Amino acid sequence: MIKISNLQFGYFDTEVLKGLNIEVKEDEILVLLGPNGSGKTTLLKILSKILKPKFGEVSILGKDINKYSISELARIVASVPQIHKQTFPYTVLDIVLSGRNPQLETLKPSKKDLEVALKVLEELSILHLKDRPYTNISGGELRLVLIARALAQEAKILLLDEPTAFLDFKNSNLILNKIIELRDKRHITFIITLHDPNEALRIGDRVALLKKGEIVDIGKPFEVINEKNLRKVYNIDVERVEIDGKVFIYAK
Amino acid sequence: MGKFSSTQNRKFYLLLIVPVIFNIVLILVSMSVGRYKVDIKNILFLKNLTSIDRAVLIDVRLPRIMAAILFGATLSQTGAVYQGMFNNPLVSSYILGVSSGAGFGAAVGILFSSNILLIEGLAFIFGIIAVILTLTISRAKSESISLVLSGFVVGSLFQSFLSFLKYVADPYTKLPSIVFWLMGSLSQITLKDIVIIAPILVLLLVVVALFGWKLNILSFGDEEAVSLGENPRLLKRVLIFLTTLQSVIVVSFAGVIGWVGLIIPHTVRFLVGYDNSKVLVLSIFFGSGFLLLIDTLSRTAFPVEIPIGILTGIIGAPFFFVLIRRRHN
Repeated sequence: MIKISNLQFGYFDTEVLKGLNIEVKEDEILVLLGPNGSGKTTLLKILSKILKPKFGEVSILGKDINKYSISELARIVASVPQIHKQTFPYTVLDIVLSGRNPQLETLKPSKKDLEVALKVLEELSILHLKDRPYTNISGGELRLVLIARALAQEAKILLLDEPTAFLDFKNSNLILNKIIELRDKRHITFIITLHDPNEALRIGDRVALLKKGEIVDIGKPFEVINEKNLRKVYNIDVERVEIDGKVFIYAK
Repeated sequence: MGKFSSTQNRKFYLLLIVPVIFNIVLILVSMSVGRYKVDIKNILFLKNLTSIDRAVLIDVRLPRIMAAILFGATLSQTGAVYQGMFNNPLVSSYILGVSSGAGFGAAVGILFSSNILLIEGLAFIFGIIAVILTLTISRAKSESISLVLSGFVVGSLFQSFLSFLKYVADPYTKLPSIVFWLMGSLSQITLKDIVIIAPILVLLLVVVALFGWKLNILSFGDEEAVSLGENPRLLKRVLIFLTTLQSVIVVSFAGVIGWVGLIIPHTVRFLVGYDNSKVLVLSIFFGSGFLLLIDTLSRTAFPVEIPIGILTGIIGAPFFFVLIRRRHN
């Protein structure tokens, strides 16, 4: 699905990504885990063509990312940013409808586009919010609206940047469950950055552990997320416990 | 779902029809009132019009009314475009320095000649030069904020040039004309001017309105625009080209008329919501009515004619204040 080889990127004189090699398979949830500044967000931005790789190759569905036009790529890769600046109080429906942009044939969405947007809202159980100003909903609802906008793009690959950030316990669980549900129902490939190893354990099919632009380890979550690796990456001591066959991590 | 879209559309069409009717009535009233009164019934049925009536209506009032309608529509629409494009509800049609450049150009024209065509021409050219300068300076960075800052810098630069010209201008003949030009006025527009600019302005209004929905995408910022499949730099270039043409035409014929591009888009959003595909259309009809109303007041409400730029400010500022207060409640 996605093949990243020897990817390097830097802002001015600081190197952010130092030769990454990752392969993402179809229908999998790949979690990028690592401390602030490890290059997770940068990687997502390269995958959505917001940033250009300095060196190395990224190919999506067998085609080099540089050969995609912006709108062509947006039909395959959609992303949900971590921070979204709400300047104007558009309605929730307006926001989700804007996800149809790469699929438009004219300068405006058609009736069919409206139907797609409404269907996505229904699928995420937020149809009742459609006429509300999106500046006037809860943090969890906003996150769902932004996910709905990405789904409206009808892309096969979804990039989520810290989808549980700033959310309360209930809402972050709601988002995580939605992600699993969407992968199962819609066969979407996810690349998700997360901060909490327990969340990575819960939803990841595979986890890539990053530190300062390099991959420390990549593989099955319960293999990658262990005491040794986390000490290496976060510089803290953690302990792993297993309850009912599920692995949990806590800091000591 | 069908119900949803039809109620939304009904509101939009209602908000379209009301200002259109308002504008038609206002045009008739504005044709009739003034220092020389013409009976409104005679205008409506085109009957019993004396040759003086005709001269006043066609040569004096008609160009001015058409200018008010076109310029009000254009200023409102460009204001709405810039507010969406720069992610900032407080920017106006003059954000890229077009008014300062045009003001300077007009002052140069007034200083060296009294030919109105030359004054308008120089205003037009320097308005364009100012915007090109703004775009060149900001090119190092593509972010919207750098465009806004560059516009500010270029605007200040031309303001200083303008102040210099005012300082050296003959205080009895030239200086008053410069000051008067800067306050904005529609009194010098002729029917010939209108014949040339009306088709251009109408075409630009329609084309820009077509980009309304795309403007929603731009208003999310460059990064999100890219991930939504839009090339923000290209789209911005197209829109800046179109809106610069729009605003420079208005400024070079009418001087600096402030506030319209700020209060009309806000009023329209207050009524219809924030989807720019609706805002850019309704701004045309609300803006034209507003400026025609102000211009009609400016030439009838006081013993002497008040420059239109002064009136838009006096009426605009408190109105804007009320609008902001209401939105926060």
